[in-house]
Amino acid sequence: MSEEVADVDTGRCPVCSVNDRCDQYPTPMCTACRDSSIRLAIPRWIVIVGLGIGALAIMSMVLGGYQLPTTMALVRARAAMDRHEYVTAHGALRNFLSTHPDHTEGNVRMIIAAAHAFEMQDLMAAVKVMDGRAVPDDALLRDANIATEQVGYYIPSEGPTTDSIKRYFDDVQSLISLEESLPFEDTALSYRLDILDRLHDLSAYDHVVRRIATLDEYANTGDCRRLTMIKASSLCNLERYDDASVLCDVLLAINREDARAMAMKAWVAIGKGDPGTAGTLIQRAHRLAPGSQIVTEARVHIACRQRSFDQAKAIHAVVREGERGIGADDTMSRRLAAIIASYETTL
Amino acid sequence: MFFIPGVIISVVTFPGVIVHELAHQLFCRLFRIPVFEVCYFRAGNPAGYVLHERVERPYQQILIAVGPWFVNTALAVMIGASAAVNTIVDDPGPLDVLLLYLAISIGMHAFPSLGDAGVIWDSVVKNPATAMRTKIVAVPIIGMIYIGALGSFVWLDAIYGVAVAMRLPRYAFEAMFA
Repeated sequence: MSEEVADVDTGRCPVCSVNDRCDQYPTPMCTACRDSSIRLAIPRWIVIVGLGIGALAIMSMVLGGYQLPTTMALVRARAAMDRHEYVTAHGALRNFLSTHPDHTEGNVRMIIAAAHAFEMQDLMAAVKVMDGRAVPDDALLRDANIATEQVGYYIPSEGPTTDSIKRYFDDVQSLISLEESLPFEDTALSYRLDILDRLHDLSAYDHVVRRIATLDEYANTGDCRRLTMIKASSLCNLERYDDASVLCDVLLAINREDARAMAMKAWVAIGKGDPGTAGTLIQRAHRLAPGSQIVTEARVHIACRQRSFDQAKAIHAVVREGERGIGADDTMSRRLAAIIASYETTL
Repeated sequence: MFFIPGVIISVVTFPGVIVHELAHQLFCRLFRIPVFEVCYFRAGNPAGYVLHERVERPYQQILIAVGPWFVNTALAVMIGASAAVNTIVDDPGPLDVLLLYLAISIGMHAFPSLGDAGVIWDSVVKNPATAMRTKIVAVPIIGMIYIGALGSFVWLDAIYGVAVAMRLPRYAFEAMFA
């Protein structure tokens, strides 16, 4: 609160009573008293306490300064997740967890981001850290549970069905029969999806996908993203680009950095005669997930559509080399070979 | 909404009262207005005051009265900034708690008091020599001071303190680096 005092009217300065007063101001004081009132001393203890607080604030800034890069990483991860950009979030969280490996929020966010970005090693590491630990943020916990559930569709548990899928690897008809024998319920979905990934015969693939596509409650909403992705891929194969594009948009709304959905959008773009958009999208998808099978498949489709068969065959050769290098099965290279052969026949 | 007597709030948040009065004094010094007495803090009503010479220029009177809003807000942001940013990653440590207490206390006392509003009313609005445009500026300021004073019944001053000491630095940091 600030208050004014009334004017004082005396012959001399009312403060010091020595000097002549100066009448040009509201309070008649001498110049010396006026100057000393203007510069009324701030008590020393206030100055000392103020300097102390300033020193504490600087100390806090210096101590906090060491943490600044990791704080920035967490802030970036949060913002990226708000924008549904899970690959960016995953990168930021990797930086953050390198200095805060036990951080609860960081690990829960890593579970979500790694699940979306298909970074299984980081996902498992974060799940291990969080095992048995309480998560105070319910919304984050719910998102983490949904994300890990989606990952579950990619990892069918070991058992007789899995053994059969492996045994029937080269036998398309047996795989289709196995798929047809599976019950039409949630529990069989992972096996069904795994069978789809094993098939490299396009007509057989379409046959199974057409059956799975009747499970619209999964395929159209993105609740099972792997199935939505397979359905979109099948629709692209059938050149139903508008329908495929709708499903890609569903997937991209969930994860704006979903390289697989982006690759299929590129496939849709090339199918609709827009090589510029296709090129931009496929480059971005390849940058985000260079090892993804769907991205690779889309790259081959785009190359073939542009009659760049040499480029398509080069991609195929790299994939085949990779399969030999790690001793993996040749499902992918066979599928790519079939795609290239079908384009060479029709174009 | 629970009620705590103003004196107790002033005692608990005394650093803010000191900075509030200091701000009045610094603005007086800036405009070369003699100050006769300063009470930086006391357990009473008002919790502090600055007695200064009558101010002839209305804009100076307005700025002396609302000076704490500028000074307390700026100091609250500066003192609370690093502690608020530190709490993005970890729970606050003892130093962060101390700095946040100081920052929130200072931010809470940023609003000019009803006494300050009264001074503006008497020396600016009621003064026939004051230009109309200055009165037009002064009246909304008085209105806002009254809203702030009424708002303190619903903890508006505390909400403001937390907002400027904790939320503003965090939002600024997040906006810069997200």
